Amino acid sequence: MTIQFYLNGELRREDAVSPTTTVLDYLRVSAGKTGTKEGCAEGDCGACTIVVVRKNGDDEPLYEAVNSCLLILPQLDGANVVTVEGLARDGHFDPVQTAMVESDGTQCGFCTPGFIMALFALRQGNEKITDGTIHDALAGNLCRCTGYRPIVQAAHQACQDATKDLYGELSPLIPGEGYEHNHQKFFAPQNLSQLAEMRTDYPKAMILAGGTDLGLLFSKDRDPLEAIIYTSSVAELGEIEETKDYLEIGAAVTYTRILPYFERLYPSFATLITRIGSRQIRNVGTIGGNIGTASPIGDTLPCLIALDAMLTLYSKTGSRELPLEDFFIEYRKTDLKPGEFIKSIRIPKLKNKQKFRAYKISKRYDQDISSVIGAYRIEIDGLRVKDIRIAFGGMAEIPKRAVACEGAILDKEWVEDTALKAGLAVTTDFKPLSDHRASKDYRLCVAANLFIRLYRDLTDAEDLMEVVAA
Amino acid sequence: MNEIKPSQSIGIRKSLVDGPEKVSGKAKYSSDFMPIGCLVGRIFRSPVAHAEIIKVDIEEAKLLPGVKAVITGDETDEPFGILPIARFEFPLARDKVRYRGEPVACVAAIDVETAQKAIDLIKFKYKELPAYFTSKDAMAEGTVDLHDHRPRNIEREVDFELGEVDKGLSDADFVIEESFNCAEVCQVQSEPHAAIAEYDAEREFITVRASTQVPYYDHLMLAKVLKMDEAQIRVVKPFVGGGFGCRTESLNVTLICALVARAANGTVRLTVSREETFITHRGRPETDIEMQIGVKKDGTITAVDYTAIQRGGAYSGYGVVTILYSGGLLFGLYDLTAVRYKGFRVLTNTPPPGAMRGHGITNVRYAFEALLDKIATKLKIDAIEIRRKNLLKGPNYETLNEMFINSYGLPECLDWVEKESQWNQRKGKMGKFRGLGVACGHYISGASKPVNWTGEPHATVHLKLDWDGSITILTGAPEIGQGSSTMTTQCAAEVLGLDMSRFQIITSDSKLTPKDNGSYSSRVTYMVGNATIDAATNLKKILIEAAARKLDANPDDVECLGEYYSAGSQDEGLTFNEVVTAALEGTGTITVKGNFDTLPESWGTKKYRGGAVSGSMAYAYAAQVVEVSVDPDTAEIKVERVWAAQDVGKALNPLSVEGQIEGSVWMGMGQAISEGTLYHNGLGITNSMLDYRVPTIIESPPIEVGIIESIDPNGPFGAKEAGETSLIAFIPALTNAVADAIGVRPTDLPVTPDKLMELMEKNTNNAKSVT
Repeated sequence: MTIQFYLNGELRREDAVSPTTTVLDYLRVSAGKTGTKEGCAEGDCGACTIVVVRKNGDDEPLYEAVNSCLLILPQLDGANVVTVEGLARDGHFDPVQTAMVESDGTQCGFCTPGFIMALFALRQGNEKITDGTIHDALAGNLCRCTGYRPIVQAAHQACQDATKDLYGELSPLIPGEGYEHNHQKFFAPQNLSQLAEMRTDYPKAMILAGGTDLGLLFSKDRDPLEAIIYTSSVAELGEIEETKDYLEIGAAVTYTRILPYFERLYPSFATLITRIGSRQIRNVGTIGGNIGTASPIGDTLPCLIALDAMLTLYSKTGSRELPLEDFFIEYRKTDLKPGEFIKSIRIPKLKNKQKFRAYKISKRYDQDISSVIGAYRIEIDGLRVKDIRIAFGGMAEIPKRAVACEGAILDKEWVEDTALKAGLAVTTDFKPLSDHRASKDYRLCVAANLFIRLYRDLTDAEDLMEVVAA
Repeated sequence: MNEIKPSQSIGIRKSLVDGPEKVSGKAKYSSDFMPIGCLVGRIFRSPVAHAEIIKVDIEEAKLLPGVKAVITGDETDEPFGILPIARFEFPLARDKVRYRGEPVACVAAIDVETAQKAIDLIKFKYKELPAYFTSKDAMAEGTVDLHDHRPRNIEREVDFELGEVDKGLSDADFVIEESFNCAEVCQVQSEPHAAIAEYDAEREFITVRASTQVPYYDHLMLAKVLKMDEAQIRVVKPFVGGGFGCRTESLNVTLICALVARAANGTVRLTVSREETFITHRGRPETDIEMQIGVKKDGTITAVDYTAIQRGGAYSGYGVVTILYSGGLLFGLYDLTAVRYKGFRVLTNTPPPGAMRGHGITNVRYAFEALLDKIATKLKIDAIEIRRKNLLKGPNYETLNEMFINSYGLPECLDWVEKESQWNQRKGKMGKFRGLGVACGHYISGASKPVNWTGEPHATVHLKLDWDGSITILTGAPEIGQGSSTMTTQCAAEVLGLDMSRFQIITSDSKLTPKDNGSYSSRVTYMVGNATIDAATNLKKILIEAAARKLDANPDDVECLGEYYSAGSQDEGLTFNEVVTAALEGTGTITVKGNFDTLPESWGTKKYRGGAVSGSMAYAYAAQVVEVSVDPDTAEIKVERVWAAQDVGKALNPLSVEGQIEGSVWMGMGQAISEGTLYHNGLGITNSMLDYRVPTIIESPPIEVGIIESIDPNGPFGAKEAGETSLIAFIPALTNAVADAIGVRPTDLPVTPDKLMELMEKNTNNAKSVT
């Protein structure tokens, strides 16, 4: 079995590498491409950013920036990879490189290759270049020297027009179904029944979706796992289905792929999604993975609970449905049975008068673990609140409904006093802990204040301060 | 023939001479060197914060196939440290471990997986000792001393009074005091620490490449711990991914790498993780400050009395210097007539801090400027006016601690930020939850007395001119991203009137380049810049003499126009290449030298012990106005805009100067609102990029930079410090702006939402009354 992929346009075939080798180590140590740097090995700094080019349904190339430190080599099977060494052409720098020199966007230069790759992906993505899209594209790249202004300038200078690019022309490779080396197995099942089979046959195997959380096992802990089941090639898990009543998302669908749907159907949720990690993370991270990890501060979980999402769990013996709010049992423990995995998440569409809002509170805007997340689906009929579902993250050991807060709002008039009273009920619903992200008092206080924000937000959008746009 | 003019390089926006290597990925950093057969090093670290070492059992680890060496504290009994008076740290712990994560053993193996397996086989037996994680606990009665020679864990106590403080305080119309706490912060430079050491047993020679700001100090410490002749060591500094003071002293990573390479009789690459880089630390210490300031009704300061306590971690490092800077550098910004300072540098069971950007003065300046602002509010004096009231009566001013101020652009900085921020029109009229704050800062342009006093000049630069007409600049000055290679090239090019493309630069290779003390204390532009000018001037003299010989003219009549030398308009002149040929005739390749030394008057005061610290040839000045908004629901601070003026003497390269000032503001912002390390029983719980929280791109505020040029009489083309001063001014400007926005004055850094929310809750009424 061989892993094959393009690296800067050259076909590479590897059959003697441990499957838990990170792409970053592979590039630097095996391929001698040391332009790609290791700044943190945790997907937080972006110094290891590379670009993976894939074709969309219309056979057009999509350029996605990813963190090579969190990927393992078999995940590249069939991929088309570009590193900083692949940008200059015929003795000329790519415009992104030239702009970074001219604007003084590089000082120490260590983060620079990562920025350049993120900018390259941005430019090739044909997005409208604004400060907003630049920020979004570079949120996952940390620079400690410049203060970013010169880099933003370089982006404006160099990213206006996508250039036709040789990498986009390469014909896709056909990925294999697995890889094995020295008793380490990497399975890439192609369909649901294969996945269910493997899940039963290898109960101890790790299920790997994007790897934005589990990737740390390889990059930091150097854990040579014996068996990994990779879900990204399972066709059914990559499906997105939209009906007039709901949106159903396969568990291996990435944040990046689902984002356009959310922007249309649940804009506030979409804004929150753009604050999860960074583009590099969202290009590989999945909502299914976020649910499976079951963190009390998983960003999507309170939102999905407030939206009354339903899970489909699948195993060799069949499938079952479970409301998401019943899936989380205690800290990092879920209702997943042996042999079972998450197949999909079904989110009801908002009905006529339903509104959805989500607020993420964290110490920094991007790339941060939330202190508190509040999510609200509310239906106001005239003045009366006809229906309300509220869930919080960061307030308990699992993401949880705020039943007392809901009670303080349901069937009441939607006036400021109601919001204040709902805020008071936060202490009935939650007994949060203090940790280094936020104190207990802060969590309670902010969770209460978010009801005021919700009130203002739904009542007088004009009055919204810029800083509170979550 | 067109008129020929010398090329100009100074004062012009020049992109970095090494920029192309950086954007192409070709620039090699220490961890990018992977020669065939190179071994991988991995460090075993202490799982406890304070313990006596009973045994480090490495027998099993050594037997693992693929392991080439395992070393422990037995490898060397020579301690290291930046200050000759405080060398008590061993590359690998001996007898005791004193902080969690302290290196105990190191493995060299064929690959990282094998190295990790070997690490897992090491058995560490120890007896735990009481551990102290705060200055207060470490200084308490009855504690166990971390080091036998430091009773009650006090590394250094500083105590001085200059002027009559009690009289000043009693003459004051108001005395205001406050306590401040500043969290420990880290540089979080982009590149984690790394080294690669190549030991050649037959020649008894070692070559070490390391991520360092101070290759020369590394060289000294390598010789010491390896017990090798200094001449048998070659230290090379490859590209370095930022410093900010985190590698201003020899780090254990570099020394361990060399020790294990010798033990393995081979080449070892030791790259530590981000977490280990946090543990290696050398950031800014947690500082508690109590300060009182006495003022007259008109705002004139009559006396300052303060105490600073720094949690110094388990080893001294630069600690003694840091606690001295916290006293000495109070002077030189304003006209102070009476100052009393007590400083305590305390040893604790946490990783050792070091000399972070704005070394020693940042936290004290924050306290001072915050308190001054509070006084201004109380006296109803405008915050800019109270600063003007206390300006130095200079330049040509001598402070109480005998600092000589020869250029002083602070008044112009204040004028600039006042005008550009529309201070007078907007201050006090910002509306709810929005505010403006101002603060000032200053910093040295290189320490006038080096830590290692040898009697050599402070800086030496060589210029090599060869038959091909190219000039190679050879300098030990470590380019770490601050742009020193570009600056040096500009200086040489300007003097010779040549285009910068005529020059190549080779930096920091101990067998090629002249010794240099390193990139720290903002010394490079001032000292190495001046040495470069000296070298280029010497070369120019040689070239003019050669041209004169060739043209049969008097050297005084030869004019250097860069690419052309003429002896008056009548004559046919010589091209640069012709002059080079003439100059090399009979003598061959020319290498000229340039030096720079500091003037004895800048060597600080003898009025108190350690008074040499703070002495500098020149001081840079900054004034900043920061505009913030505060979210009433979440207490999140948003920096809306910053106006940063800095007197840099002369902006040799305005592009780089802007980058330095913006970067300084930026790093100051992190310390002000989000950064800080935290420990749980000595275990660092913020040792990742995620949990430590440097600001990201979206927090990047618009920064207007005002370059003020006071033209320092001794600076290279008049230049001074550009890379630290603005960080210092930002922090108090921010907290002053927050106070303006919400009527509550934060005293503890960082001003995180939970702390601010607590303050806002306590002062709800107050906050509501502020408009």
